[in-house]
Amino acid sequence: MAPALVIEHVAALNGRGARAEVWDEAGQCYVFVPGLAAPSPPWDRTSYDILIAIPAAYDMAELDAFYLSMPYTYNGGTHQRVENGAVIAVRGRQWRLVSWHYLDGKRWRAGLDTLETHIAHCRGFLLARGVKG
Amino acid sequence: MKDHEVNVSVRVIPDNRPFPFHVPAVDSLLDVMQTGAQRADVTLLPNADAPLDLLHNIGKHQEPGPAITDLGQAVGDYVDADGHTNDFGIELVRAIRVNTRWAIAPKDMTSPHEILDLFQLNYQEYSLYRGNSADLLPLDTPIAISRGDAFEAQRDGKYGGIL
Repeated sequence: MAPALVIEHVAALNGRGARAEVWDEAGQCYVFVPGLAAPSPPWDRTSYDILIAIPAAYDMAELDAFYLSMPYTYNGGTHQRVENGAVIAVRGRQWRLVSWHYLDGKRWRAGLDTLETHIAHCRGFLLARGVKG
Repeated sequence: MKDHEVNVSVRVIPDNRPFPFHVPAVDSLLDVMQTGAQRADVTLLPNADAPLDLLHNIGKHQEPGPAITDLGQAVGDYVDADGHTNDFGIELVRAIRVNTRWAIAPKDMTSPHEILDLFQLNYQEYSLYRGNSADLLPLDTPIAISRGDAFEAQRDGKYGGIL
């Protein structure tokens, strides 16, 4: 069951012209974000759908990482930080976990960070922004 | 409410070329603003339904009055009130976007620090980038701001695991 706050935040995002949907898959809540823009090249397409796993205690519990829609290529091959990620099947599609995390000392802060800021954080992966490690 | 039409004109400030048209008296000032923007071929930001751009009444001596705060009122009632004319002006503000939110930048040259403050984002927590750019904007170096500019504020990230 989706946390009430994430439903509220998704509605707010859609109200501001963004696109996101709350999905439930076997009791796990995800937010589906279609068409997150990516630079191409090196990515093989100009946008990707992503999934963000939502903890039941959102937003007191942090968001972390995301799933990238498959298939994808990066510089004609795989992205070394994606290729070993776990693959899940949700709504008939395969999604690979991207191990992309907040920096130590700049972690998720409940009440300050939201689904919106996490989506921007995920965009940072696709653009290789501010990668510290 | 009066069942008639009102002749109005809308210009884009400071351009003084008026675009005349008529609207039902029951239409709202927002309707007038939207139609005026279409006639003048300008796009209201962030959208036509809830613009940050401002609508002014233009006085008899062509001077813009204060921004009209209640755009929901009927244009017929508004122009009938003392001191009001049938002429309006749209002020296109310096609207900028950070992630999915919009606000009005206070000046042409604004530092990322000031932009983050404007959106109530802690400059010690978030980094600011122009949309689709991977180049970090230095926190205290003013940058040229234009209407419609899009930025992204993010917590920077790191890869997990060891290769």
